[in-house]
Amino acid sequence: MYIKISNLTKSFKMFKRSAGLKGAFKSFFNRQYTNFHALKNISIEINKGEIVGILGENGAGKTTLIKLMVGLLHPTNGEVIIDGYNPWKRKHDYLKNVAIVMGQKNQLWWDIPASESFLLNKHIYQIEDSKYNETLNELVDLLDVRDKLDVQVRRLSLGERMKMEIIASLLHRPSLVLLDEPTLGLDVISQSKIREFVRYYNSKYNATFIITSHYTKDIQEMCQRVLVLNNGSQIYDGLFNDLIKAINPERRLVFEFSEGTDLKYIDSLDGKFEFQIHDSILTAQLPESQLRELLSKLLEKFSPQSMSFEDLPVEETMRSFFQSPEDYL
Amino acid sequence: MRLMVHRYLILWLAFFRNSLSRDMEFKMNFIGNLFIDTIFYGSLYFFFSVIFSYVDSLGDFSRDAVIIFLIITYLTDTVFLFFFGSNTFQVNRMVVRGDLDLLLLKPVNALFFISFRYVSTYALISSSILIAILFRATYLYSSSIGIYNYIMFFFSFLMGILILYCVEFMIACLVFWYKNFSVGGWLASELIKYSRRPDSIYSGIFRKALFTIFPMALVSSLPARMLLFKPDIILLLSQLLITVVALSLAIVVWNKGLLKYDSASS
Repeated sequence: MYIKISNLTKSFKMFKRSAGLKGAFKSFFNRQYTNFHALKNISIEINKGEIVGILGENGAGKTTLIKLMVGLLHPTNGEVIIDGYNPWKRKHDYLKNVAIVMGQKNQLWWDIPASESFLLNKHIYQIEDSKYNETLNELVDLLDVRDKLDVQVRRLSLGERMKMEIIASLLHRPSLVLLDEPTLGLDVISQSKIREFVRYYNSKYNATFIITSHYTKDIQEMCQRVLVLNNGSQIYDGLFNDLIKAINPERRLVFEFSEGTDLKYIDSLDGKFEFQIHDSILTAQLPESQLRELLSKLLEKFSPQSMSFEDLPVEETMRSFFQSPEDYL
Repeated sequence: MRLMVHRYLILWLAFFRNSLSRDMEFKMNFIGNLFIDTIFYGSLYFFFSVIFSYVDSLGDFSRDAVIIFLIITYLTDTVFLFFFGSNTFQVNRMVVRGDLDLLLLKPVNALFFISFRYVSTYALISSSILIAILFRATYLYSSSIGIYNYIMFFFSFLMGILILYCVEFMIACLVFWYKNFSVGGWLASELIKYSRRPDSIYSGIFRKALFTIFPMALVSSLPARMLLFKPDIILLLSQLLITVVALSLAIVVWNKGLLKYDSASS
C-alpha cells in the first residue's frame, strides 16, 4: 500500500467572539476557546498510481487532509504512512518524492521570470542537468507555455501562472502529487489543459495524484475514485461513477424518430414509461434498466434518425447530494 | 559534511542570483535603498557628533574610537541586512498567511531556507564601501592595530552578526505562539538599538546583562574592542559560547514553533 491513513483526526483550538465592538472587548479580556474538529477518524488506503479526488463543501476538511498528508500539520490523533514515511517528520528523502500545488499559494518568485525559479528548484532538488532539461522541455510543451518562460511571473495570466506553478512542482518528477484546487479561477481551456496534463503525467510516470477541487468536472474527468468529506467526516470512499449512480440513478435518452414515422405505437408505451415527445423527439429520464427496456421496445418498431444516452449534469447531482448527503448514502 | 556545505553554498548562490535578478528589475528602488542607508548612517553620526561637542570621551572610547565603532555598527547592519534582513522580517507574514507551507515542503533544511532565501543585494555595495572606510579609519587611528587585531575582529564581527540574527529570529518566531506578532519587528528594532551604542556608556548590572543574557554589547562593541584595544581571548571565547547558546536557542524555538504552526486555511 502506497498511502495508508488510519483514524486520522485533527482538531484546532479556536476562540469564538460575538460580532461588534462589545464582542471584541469581551473577547480581548476573556477569550473563550473551543475545539474545532476539522477531521474526524479518516481512514483510507491508496495504491501507487491512483488518482483520488477529495470532494466536499467549503470547510469540509479537504485542505486539512492534504496538509496532514504532506506533513505540514501534525495530527491530533491517528497515523499517516506514505511510502513507508511518516510525513510530519519531513525527511528529505520523502520530500524529494512529493509535490504540492495549491491554487491560492505560489512558490514562484513574483518579479522574475518563472524560468529563474525553475533553476532554483533544480538546485533545491539536486536535479542533474540532462534530466532537468528533459523534464522542463516535456512539461513546457505539454502545458504550452514555452513563449512565457522568460516573462516575469507578475505579468502572466492566472492560467499561465498556474501552469508555471505545476511545472515548478513537477521538475523533480515526484511520485506523489497533491493538487489543492488546481483549476481555481481558470478559464475552461486552461482547466481542460490541466486535466489532460494530469492524466498524461499519471499514465507516463505512474504518479499518485490526490486532487481537491470545487469543480466536479475536474474530479469527474481526472479521478475514478473519490473520498467525500462532510464536516470533517468521511462519508464515501469509492468509485465516482458509483457515487453518482447512488445519488441519481437516472440517465436521459434522446430518441429522434425518422421523418414520417407513425407514432401510434408510442401511445401503448405511455403509462408504462415516463417520457415526453416534442417535434418527433422522444426524451425520457429514467433509471438505466428501465431506459434500456424502453429503448429495446422503441428499436423493435422504429429505426431512429439519431439517438443518444446522456448522463445527468454531475454538478447538479453533487449539489443536491451535499444539501443532504445522509439521504443518499 | 563537505558535500553538505558545498550543497548549501550552491543553494545560497542560487538565492543570491535570483535576488539580484529581482532587485535589478526595479532600478530606482535599488538606488533608493542605498540612499536610505546613507541617511540612516548620517543621522547616527550626527547624534554622536552632538554628544562629543560636550564630552571628550565615552568611557574608554575616544571620539575617533567612537567613529570606528559607528563604522562597525553600520557594517554590522549592512552585512546582517545582506544575509538575513529581508528574511527575518518576513517570518511573521509568512506564518500568518500560511506562506510557510511551500517552503517547509522543500527537501532542504527549513531554517536555512527561511533565513537565507532573500538576499538584499544592494547591501553588498554599502558593505564594500564601509569595509574600505573602516580600513582607512583604523589606519589613521593608531599604528598599534595589527594583524592579530584584525583576525580577532573578523571572528568577533561574524559572531556579532549571528547573535543579532538569533535575537531577531527568535522574536520573529513568537508569531507561532501568538498567531500574529507584527509588533515583533518593532520590538527587535528597539532592542537592537542597545547594540548601536558603545558598551562603555552603560554600567552596573545592565552592562553585565549586555555581555551575557541580553548580549547586545557582543554585536558591535565587542568587535570594536577587538579591533581598537588589546585583543582579549577570554572575551572572544565568551562571545563564542554565547553565540553557540544563542544559535541553539534559535533552533529550539524554531522547532518548537513549527509544532505550533497550523498553516492558514486555503
